[in-house]
Amino acid sequence: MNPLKNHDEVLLRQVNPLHMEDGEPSSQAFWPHRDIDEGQLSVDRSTLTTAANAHALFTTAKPNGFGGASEGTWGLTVGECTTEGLSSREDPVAATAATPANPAHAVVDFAAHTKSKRPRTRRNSARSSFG
Amino acid sequence: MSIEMKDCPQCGANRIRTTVSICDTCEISNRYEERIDELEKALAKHEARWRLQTVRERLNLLAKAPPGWADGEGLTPAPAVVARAWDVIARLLADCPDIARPKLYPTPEGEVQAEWSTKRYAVEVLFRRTGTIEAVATDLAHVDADDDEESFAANAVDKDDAGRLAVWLRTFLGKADGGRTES
Repeated sequence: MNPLKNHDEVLLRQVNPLHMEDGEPSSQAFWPHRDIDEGQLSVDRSTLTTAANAHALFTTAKPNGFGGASEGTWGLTVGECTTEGLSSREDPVAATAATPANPAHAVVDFAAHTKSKRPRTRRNSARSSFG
Repeated sequence: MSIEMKDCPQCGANRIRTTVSICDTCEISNRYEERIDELEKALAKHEARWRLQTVRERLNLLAKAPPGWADGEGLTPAPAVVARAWDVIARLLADCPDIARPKLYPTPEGEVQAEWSTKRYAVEVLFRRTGTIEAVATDLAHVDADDDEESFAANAVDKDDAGRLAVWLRTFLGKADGGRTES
């Protein structure tokens, strides 16, 4: 898949309600912690969707959405990922019988980083886009 | 018969009778000071109680996280982990009013993460199922630098003594903006 090169493009990330306290997300929200993530952090591209639409698609029940839980959408730019030594690339998702298509889907690649030496995505620079 | 007068020994600005100790202005001022001291002590006790109550409520919430809370994955934090997090954080906040209340989050492994943010550091303390406490501080101004890491054995920090953890935290929370993350 093609790497994302526009450093100003905002990557939209859904944050689990339990990873929020007093409006502040855990650093875990920006780390691919699930086994099925395989070191790839799921995000949506702001050039192809909006924070509100990304949130709606993620939280809407299947099969019209992905049935996930999200307190809100946070954003970080491609450039901020690059600064942290992380590459990002487009990763559109095709529709299945259980879930809809998501052409705006992209991933930030953490595979080269072990968990103990993971780059700390800067929560201070992440922007609350919707929530 | 003349009334004997003297300068107020406290302020020196007012003349008072020799039979009284201080002038009315100073007496009222002293009363205000005493009352302010009383109120400040009561407020500090109230704030300490509020900090602990907030932590307790948050941990109670985390303890109820359903299995699969992280989009199908994610264990419910183990009761022993939650209890240990409470013991240590309560001791830390009770003994160290200068240390901000951390934000508390569950991990998918069923453990508890405490986080502090300053302008310069991201500080994380992880309460493991093994009973150990792992602490990591990341210098946000130098992302290529190695993290400062510390591990505390189960018996090194407990409900009676969080001193070692407090010393470590102050190394980072005391810098830049003092680690005031609670809102």
